[in-house]
Amino acid sequence: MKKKNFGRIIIYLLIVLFMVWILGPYIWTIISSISLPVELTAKPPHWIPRKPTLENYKKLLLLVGKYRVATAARSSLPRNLLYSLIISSITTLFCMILGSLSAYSFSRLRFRGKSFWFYLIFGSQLLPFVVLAIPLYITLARLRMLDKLGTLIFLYVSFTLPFVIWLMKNYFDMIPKDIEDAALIDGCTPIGALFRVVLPVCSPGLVATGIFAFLGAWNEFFLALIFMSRTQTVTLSVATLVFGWTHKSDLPLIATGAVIASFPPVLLALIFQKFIVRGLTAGALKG
Amino acid sequence: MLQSLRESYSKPQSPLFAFSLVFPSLLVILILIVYPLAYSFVLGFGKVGANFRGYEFIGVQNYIKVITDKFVWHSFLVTLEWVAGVTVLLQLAGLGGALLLDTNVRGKSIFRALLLVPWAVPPVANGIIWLSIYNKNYGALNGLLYQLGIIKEYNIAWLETPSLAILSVIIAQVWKWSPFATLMILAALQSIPDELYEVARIDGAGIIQRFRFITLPLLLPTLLILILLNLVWSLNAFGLIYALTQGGPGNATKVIAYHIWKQTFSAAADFGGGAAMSYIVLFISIMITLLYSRAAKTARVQF
Repeated sequence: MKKKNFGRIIIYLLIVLFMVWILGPYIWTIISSISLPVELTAKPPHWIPRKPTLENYKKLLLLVGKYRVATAARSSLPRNLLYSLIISSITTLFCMILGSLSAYSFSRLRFRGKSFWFYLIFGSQLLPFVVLAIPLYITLARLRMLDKLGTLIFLYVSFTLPFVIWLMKNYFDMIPKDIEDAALIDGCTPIGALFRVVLPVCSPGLVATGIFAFLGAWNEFFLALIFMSRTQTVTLSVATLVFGWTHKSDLPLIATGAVIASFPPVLLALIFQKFIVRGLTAGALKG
Repeated sequence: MLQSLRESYSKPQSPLFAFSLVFPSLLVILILIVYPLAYSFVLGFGKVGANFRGYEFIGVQNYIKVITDKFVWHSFLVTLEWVAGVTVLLQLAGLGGALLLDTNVRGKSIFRALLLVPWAVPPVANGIIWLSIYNKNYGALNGLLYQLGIIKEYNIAWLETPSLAILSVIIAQVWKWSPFATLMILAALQSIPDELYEVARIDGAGIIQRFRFITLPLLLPTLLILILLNLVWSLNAFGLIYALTQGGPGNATKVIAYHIWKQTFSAAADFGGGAAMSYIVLFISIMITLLYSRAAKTARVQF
């Protein structure tokens, strides 16, 4: 009995250690963001701030003081936040509409070359981004479509769609066909069956897929850097980094930037954690 | 035409209807994925003029230039270090975390939920977080080592020392992705029926034997998928390295994706060379995937 208790204590200790590794860096960033610079430059730093302050958040979000993002004079984090919000929301909307129609067709209906098209879509997920970025850059530059909000959304939709279709098809495949057959017999069209029966039944899957699409667009950096580099309409990702480099030595300030950029995705992930965990692991168990 | 389309919509199983649902997505994907893929192939054998106008066919010159460039080879070596480091450490962290959370401890669901924090953090924010932790003058890592009495003064430049920089970047990447690995492996662990362990225990199998003959083989398919995803993803990793080291110090962390970006978009505006290099990366990814799926098949049979 004693030996068992000892084992349990060891397991708990190891779990605590693992969680410190997982959460430590982020918690430290939050602590840094509410510290005064002197507390962090102390040796060793004050792990718990003696005078916590929200000054940095005021500077960045309410634009108190002169901390503006350096890329463009009129650019500011709230503005970048808004751009990221708009871009990510529209991307998610388009992905969900186009994705659910396609996934339904791939899961339930029959047409010529279905498996070919499906593998084409599936395979495109494994492509290195740079292969596509170079020709797209040249084409878009010729068409004078660089540095446009719509262009970035279009790019995000196309790069997110394959994953969305694949994930949604997995969800649709799990739903027994009898449910919609009943609706079809009652005179429902396939589209009606999709919207009235299939989509409501797999709404947890839809939530997960929507969040993946949103987070993907919100967190994306490479394309935003290349295609939106010369405007004030940079996304929060790009702005946060430029900002972080400009104020490299002001640790509390850049930590605040990191917290602001990561707050929406982290919050979403925690609120919808059940759906996300299920969505993430659905693929693993199928393979 | 319209009439037949309308009719096809009312018939549940019409192929035209089925295809029309897929068509918009396919169009988007064809324009933005298949077309650039083809264009990139053409670019690899040519030269683009000023202001993106014109195209001159120059044969395999781009490829020759790339293959004989020692910086490219250096980047591939760095990429190898990076991919291997990330993949190995991620599997270890994921397996360790999953085994711990698979025990019947209290608060398991809370731990699992909190795992999503690093997973959700944007790569750029991840960069900033570790930029501040690794800061040589005021960073938390030197602070922690100082606090614990391991170092006497702040003298470790984590990101500025060539031999340490790659390891530092690898650890930052592993931090972000270990929750994903943990969750995947945990799900696979939970799908193993308890009866198997029960039977093995009755037969006198110890904890190590149970792990070796039940857990590991049943975990293998998941581990193999994870490794493949890690390989392909880390081959493309850009944001974190851009944020933390910009390929430096020297070229110590210049992975191939970063090198291509630098050559094409930042330094030389060499689109042909960039396209050639990116096709080499594409070729490597495809080879990895193919070799891998074959190896995975044999491995599954052997266990």
